[in-house]
Amino acid sequence: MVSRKLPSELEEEILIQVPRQSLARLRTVCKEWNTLFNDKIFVNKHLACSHPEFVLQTDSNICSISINLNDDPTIQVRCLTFDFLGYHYGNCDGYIFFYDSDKGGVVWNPWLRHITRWIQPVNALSLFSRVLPSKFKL
Amino acid sequence: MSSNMIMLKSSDGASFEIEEAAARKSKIIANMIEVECVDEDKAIPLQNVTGNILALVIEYCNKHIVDDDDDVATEEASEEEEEAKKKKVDDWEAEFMNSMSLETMFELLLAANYLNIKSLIDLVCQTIANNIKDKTPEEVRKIFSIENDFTPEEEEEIRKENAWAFG
Repeated sequence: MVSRKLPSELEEEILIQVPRQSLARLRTVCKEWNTLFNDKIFVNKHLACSHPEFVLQTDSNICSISINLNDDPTIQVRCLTFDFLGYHYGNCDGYIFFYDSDKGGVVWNPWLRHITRWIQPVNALSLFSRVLPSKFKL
Repeated sequence: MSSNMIMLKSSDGASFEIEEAAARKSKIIANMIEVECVDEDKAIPLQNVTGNILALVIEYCNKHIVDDDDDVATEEASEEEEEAKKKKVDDWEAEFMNSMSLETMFELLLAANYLNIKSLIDLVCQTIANNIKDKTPEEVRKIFSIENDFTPEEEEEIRKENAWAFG
């Protein structure tokens, strides 16, 4: 449609504003976009942009809540389908990490509705170093 | 407020008169004014912007210069007034963007980028983002003039990994 392709920095400016579910769908547009969406700097910019997210804990559940302030404001809620009681947990960049000294740890990605298998620690420290720096997908 | 007028000339030869204060929304033009590159009798040539797009840019700048002046003049405005004013600008921007095609938006984005008008770049990017968020990858490729460089197998693989988003 456009007679010339947009410079990639402008494409990036646009894509930062696209909600993450749409971004995941747009991975198949081209290799450049697929690579961009894995880029740590892009992911951080995207997270910081227009979709405030926070984790809400009630007595019986943990939910990840995302607020989209676009022209059609929406609030999306994803509740954990996993009994978290009794585990230690923390969150980072919208992911929640659960830890149990016997079972190990799991990471929950509320937006992919995905939870990893139990990751066995050699010891608590090595568990954190193995799980946390690994690359998460949007 | 300075009411100096500046002349701008589009790539297709159309001339536009604009208040200096409005033209300063463009960092490029503001810099030209700072270093006194602007001759009052001569129009500034903008080789990358056509007349119809420049008219939109000027409409945007004129609208926002008034708003910026208001901000300075009414420092003591109540919160409600501030909110009403912000809503007015938001409504104006929504209508402004609503009136144009995607193709015009892309040209406006390139012009805003060339003229370095950050708030206009943000506005257009946000509008395009809203516009493409529900479109298929194939539609988005067309809009952005992008060629699909995946093999069908690679594409299927990525689609599988992200099946949750295609539902």
